[in-house]
Amino acid sequence: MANNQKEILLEIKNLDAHYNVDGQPVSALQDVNFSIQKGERVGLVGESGCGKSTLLKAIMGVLAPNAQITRGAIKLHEGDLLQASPEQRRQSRWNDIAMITQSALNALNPVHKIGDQIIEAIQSHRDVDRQQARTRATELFELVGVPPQRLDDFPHQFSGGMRQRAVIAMALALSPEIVLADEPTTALDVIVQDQIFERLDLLQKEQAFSMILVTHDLALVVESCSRIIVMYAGMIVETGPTHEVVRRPFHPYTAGLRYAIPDPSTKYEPISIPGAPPDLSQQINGCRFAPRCPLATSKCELEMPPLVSSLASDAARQTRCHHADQMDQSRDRFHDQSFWQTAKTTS
Amino acid sequence: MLLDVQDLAKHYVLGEGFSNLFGLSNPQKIRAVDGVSLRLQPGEVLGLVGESGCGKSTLARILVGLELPSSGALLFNGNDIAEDIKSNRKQFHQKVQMVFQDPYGSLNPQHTIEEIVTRPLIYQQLGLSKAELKDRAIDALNDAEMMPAKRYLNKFPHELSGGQRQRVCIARALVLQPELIVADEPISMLDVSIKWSIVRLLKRLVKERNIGLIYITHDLSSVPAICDKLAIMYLGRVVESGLCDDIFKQATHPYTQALLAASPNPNPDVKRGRPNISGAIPNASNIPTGCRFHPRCPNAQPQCATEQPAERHRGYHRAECHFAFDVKIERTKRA
Ligand SMILES: Nc1ncnc2c1ncn2[C@@H]1O[C@H](COP(=O)(O)OP(=O)(O)OP(=O)(O)O)[C@@H](O)[C@H]1O
Ligand SMILES: Nc1ncnc2c1ncn2[C@@H]1O[C@H](COP(=O)(O)OP(=O)(O)OP(=O)(O)O)[C@@H](O)[C@H]1O
Ligand code: SF4
Ligand SMILES: [Mg+2]
Ligand SMILES: [Mg+2]
Repeated sequence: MANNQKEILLEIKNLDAHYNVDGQPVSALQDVNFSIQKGERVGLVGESGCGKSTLLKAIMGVLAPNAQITRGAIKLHEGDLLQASPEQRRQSRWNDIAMITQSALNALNPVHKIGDQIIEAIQSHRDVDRQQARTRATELFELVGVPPQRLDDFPHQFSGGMRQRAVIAMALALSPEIVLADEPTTALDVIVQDQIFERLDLLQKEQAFSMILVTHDLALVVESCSRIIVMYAGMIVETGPTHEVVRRPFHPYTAGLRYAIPDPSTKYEPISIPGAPPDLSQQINGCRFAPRCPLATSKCELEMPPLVSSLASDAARQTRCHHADQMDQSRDRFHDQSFWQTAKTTS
Repeated sequence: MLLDVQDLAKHYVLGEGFSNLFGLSNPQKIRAVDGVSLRLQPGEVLGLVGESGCGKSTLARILVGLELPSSGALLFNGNDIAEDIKSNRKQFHQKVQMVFQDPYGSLNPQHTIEEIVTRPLIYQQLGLSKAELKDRAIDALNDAEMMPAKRYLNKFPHELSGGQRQRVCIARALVLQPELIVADEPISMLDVSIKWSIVRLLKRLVKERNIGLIYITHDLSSVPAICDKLAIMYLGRVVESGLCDDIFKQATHPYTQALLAASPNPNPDVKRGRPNISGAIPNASNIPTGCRFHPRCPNAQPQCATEQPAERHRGYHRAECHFAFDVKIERTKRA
């Protein structure tokens, strides 16, 4: 990446995965490649169902039983997690890699007090007594802005956002090296979200842990992540420094994602991307976005574009599009709904 | 009036359990909803916005009859909701539907998507044939942007992503064509493109079928596109309410102002103001005296700590702040 001085913590190489559905493989991740530096926070965005949670679960080692990784490596400090024994993986879960699942609202055990669940998680991995663990839990509740008196509540007594914050607290409990956060703030108002990110920033500076932040909220990525990864239908279609990607997208899908957000600082009306993502139980040889893409040509339909550098001047910017070089001339047209309607699915 | 809520309250008592029998702990009283009044006409969308834990979901559960209020009045089409449910539960559920906040906890894992979406129809015993049921499910799923719907009918919830589950929850609420929908963060996990399609759909349904919608959200960017009216909650009370436009143009309560100022902007070249409220989020079991917002309020004066502000209004625009509408308080900025 741009400044290769930094130590690489996590590296995903050529990852392919699918779900078995009625005996048929349905592709979920294809040719996923990226790496995360120590202390870095990366935003992962993409359409609902594109494989973001699948990717996090693969890294965490908690994929559904009908999921299968067919190729690739997930390296944490050089060691391939996919080659590790179940016991080694169990050890590293929560200790090295922690996850805030998208189902956080439903993730706590309903019959135990929330504080007890956190204390137990700490004690099962660390040699501390109950009092020390409780002190840690109290700190964590303060960090995420839930009054510590409420450690003795049961999950049903918490609001949605409080449960989500309890799960954030739990993920941070053992000071992991990397936190996989799957839509961690869907139930939080902007002020609480702001406060949590402010504290996470401090904590990240102190402890240099890394984070992958999955969110549908591009604005949150713009404000809090130095780098962005854009996925479409199981593949990374664009990646690079967040501000540059958002200012100057090179993939038509990224342009669509960006221009679908109302932006009072411009004269443009928000667009919507017509059509639906492809059926991944079918083999697709071309670009997975081609049916919805206004730039698509016959080459796009036949040949999968590789993820390659989209700017000679900046190797960190990569795009998976045959026509990325046309984007500088055609970017403005992506603000125009009628341009999107010229794509194959709609015309 | 489709819905008329007067001074509604819901208090929970915590720590009342076993240990308390021996006087070992003090029961805490959580004032989750603490005197809320709202009105909704058919064909209207009311947005309900507020801090995490301020009582939105509790209020929602009461509005759809899942919980009883501790006090206050609650009328649906002029009738008391509790009475309505007692006399004809089935009919009440046909008219009032809810989309729950948690799409993971609210879909039965043993049922296929088709079963989940057709279940309300079956419960209503409308005498529909199998084929008709399926068609209604497909229509509802299409409306909720689960396209192509056929691809999902035989799937189970665990085979769906978070955003796909949310769309199933919306389809399930739409399938009965209710008169009132209470939707608790219905699109919080959807990307913008799908989000706007659903927002447009809900807005259209509200106008075409003349139904009422209560839209609970943390996503202020979606509010102007869908809501006619807005109510801002803070610690169990509505602290500001009125027409959506008025509030967006001239928010008068300092909490609302802070909320509006804090929304992240997708444009990296536009810097947003930071809210200048800080401090710990208060506990609903220990509500501050006077104005409940005063410990965090940038404009607080001595009287705010002691006197609960009365409601002030200008036309339909109302706010509970001693200084509401008084001076044009400048948009608050964090120092
Ligand atoms: N256990 C499973 N069996 C079969 N298909 C699955 C399973 N889990 C997920 N899928 C499918 O795989 C695709 C990717 O799902 P994933 O949960 O990774 O999406 P996502 O990007 O996280 O979406 P969202 O933003 O809506 O949460 C979806 O189409 C989903 O329906
Ligand atoms: N069954 C219950 N027993 C005790 N306290 C409860 C119960 N349900 C909710 N509460 C408390 O009532 C308050 C309001 O909760 P509610 O779920 O209504 O908030 P909310 O506005 O929906 O928040 P969020 O945006 O985080 O979902 C919170 O302090 C919560 O802990
Ligand atoms: S490769 Fe072709 S179809 Fe795919 S996004 Fe680029 S231009 Fe569009
Ligand atoms: Mg997901
Ligand atoms: Mg809630």
